[in-house]
Amino acid sequence: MKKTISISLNYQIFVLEEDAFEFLSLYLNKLKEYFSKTEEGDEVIRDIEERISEIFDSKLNDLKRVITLQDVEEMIKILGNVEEITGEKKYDNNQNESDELKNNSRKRLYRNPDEMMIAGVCGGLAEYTGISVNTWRIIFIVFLFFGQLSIIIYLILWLTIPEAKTTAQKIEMKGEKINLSNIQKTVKEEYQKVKNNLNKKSGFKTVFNEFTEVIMKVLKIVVEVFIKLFGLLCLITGISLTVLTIITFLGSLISKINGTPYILSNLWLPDILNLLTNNVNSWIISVALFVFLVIPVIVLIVWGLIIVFNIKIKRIFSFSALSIWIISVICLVTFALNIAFSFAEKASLKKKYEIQNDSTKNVKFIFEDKVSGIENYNQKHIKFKLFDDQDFFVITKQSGEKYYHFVMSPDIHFFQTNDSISFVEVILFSRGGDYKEALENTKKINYNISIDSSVVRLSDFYIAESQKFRGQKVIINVYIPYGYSFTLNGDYSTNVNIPVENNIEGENNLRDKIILSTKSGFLIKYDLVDKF
Amino acid sequence: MDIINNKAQMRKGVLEYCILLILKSKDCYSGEILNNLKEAELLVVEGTLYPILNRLKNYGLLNYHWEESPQGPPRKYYSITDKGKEVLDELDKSWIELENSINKLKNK
Repeated sequence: MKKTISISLNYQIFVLEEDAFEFLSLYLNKLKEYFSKTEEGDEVIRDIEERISEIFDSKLNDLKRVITLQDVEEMIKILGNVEEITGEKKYDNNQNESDELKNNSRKRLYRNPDEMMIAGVCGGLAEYTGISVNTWRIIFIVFLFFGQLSIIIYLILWLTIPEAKTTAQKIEMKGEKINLSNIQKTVKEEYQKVKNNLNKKSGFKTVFNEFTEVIMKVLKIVVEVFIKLFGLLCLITGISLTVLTIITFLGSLISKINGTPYILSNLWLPDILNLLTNNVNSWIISVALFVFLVIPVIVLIVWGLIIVFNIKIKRIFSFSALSIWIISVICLVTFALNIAFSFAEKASLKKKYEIQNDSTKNVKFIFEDKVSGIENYNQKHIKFKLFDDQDFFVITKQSGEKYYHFVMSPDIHFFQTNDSISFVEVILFSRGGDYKEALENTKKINYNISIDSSVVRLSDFYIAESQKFRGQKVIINVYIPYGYSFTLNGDYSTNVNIPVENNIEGENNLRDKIILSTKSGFLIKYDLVDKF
Repeated sequence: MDIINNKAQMRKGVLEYCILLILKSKDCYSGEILNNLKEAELLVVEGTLYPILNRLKNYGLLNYHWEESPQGPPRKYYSITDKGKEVLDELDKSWIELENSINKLKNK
């Protein structure tokens, strides 16, 4: 069975078998090529075609309705081949007849498009040398292992050797004399090759392709497994975080409501933020922070679900989640900037207190475990340390109500002085949006120091809800004249600075010790007994 | 030396003369011209005819017209022109001259 192609010749329709068509096309094209150069060559072609149609007509009958290759060949015998009609020997390489012999044995090196895996270099070499294509391929690949020269040589060959595109070039490549019969043969051969290639692929190429296919499949599977594992990880992380948060949150909420002394109930964020800013803001920021933390966790869970279970999520959901998250970020950033501005300026107030001497020339400093201004501090409160030892975050309960206070200890520094009287400087320090605000904040610091003859009582101070935390500090500078001494009693924190020269056992043990102010600095008065 | 080629060249040379001779008696279409030439054993392949017909027409020695044919598409019928007739007379003379010359040489 063959494919057929319909043509029109001299206004008649003829049905030709595929190879007959190819052959006829070739013949007519050669003729057209020649006659197009002559005056009114088209008419000659038309006359020729007319004659061809007459000849074809005579070949057809009721039993035979298509023109075969044989018919075309016979037609050409009658009409004459291209050489005979045009009177030109067009298809030798040289005009000179004596070179015909040379032509017979001369092959030209072309790249072979019919045997092409990459560029047809090996195919061309095969035709030229007679060594088979696959051998050449193996040669190139083997030399690849000896260095990159193989690749370079291949590239040079690729660039310099032309490809045998036309039929004439292909015949030159194979080294035969070019004339019409050769071209006929080559056309027929190419034809067969194309048909065969449709049915099977050339062996080497298939093996290579299959090999790469297998590797790609394996890679694909590995990648898919990794993606699934990642999805699972997302899912697990997301869910555990959520569970943790819920527990914390619920615990906090519950204990806040019924007032149980659950440590985490102290972490009710809006109340904490209330010390920094006003009520409305603290709620907004709390919500914003919640959203900021929760949405990524939700995203993590959703990714996990998508990857592991192939669930689809509508665009609108992810879009709104993203927008809400961005809004929360904006809130948080704005808030942070706002707060930063409130801390821009600073102010301080200084007050001096003289300590009366007594004959002992000893000043007693008592650190009281109470907070200036808070009544019944010791009795009903929950206290824990948020930052380092010095700062307490205390919830004070008084008659059923709860107050949040940010309690701080003053920084105390001891100095020696040439004065004959010991005295204390209390410096209140605060920040604010501008100097006026800072000063106001400073004035609001409620720090009481009580001096009774030569006993000084010190305590902590707090920032209440009515104030806002603005980096308040209380600095107490104590000046002890030479020849005097002092003692520290009570529970004092580590932000008491005394440059003691002979502190053997560490600062913590300064309690209840007598410290002398001498010309050589502060010295602990050791009894002989103490040393052992 | 290619004998066959030589013969073909000689035939080709007189072909134009022959065509004019055929058309002198009557108008013919290409098929008829071919038959005449084949009967006279002058033609090997038909394809050589067409370029020559075209050339003669371009020189103004021939003309053609279309006529309906019983078996299908219309055909070109060639006719010799006056100029063609003149050229034909000239060629007749040349042919006789040539024949004489060669006979002279052969009889030597």
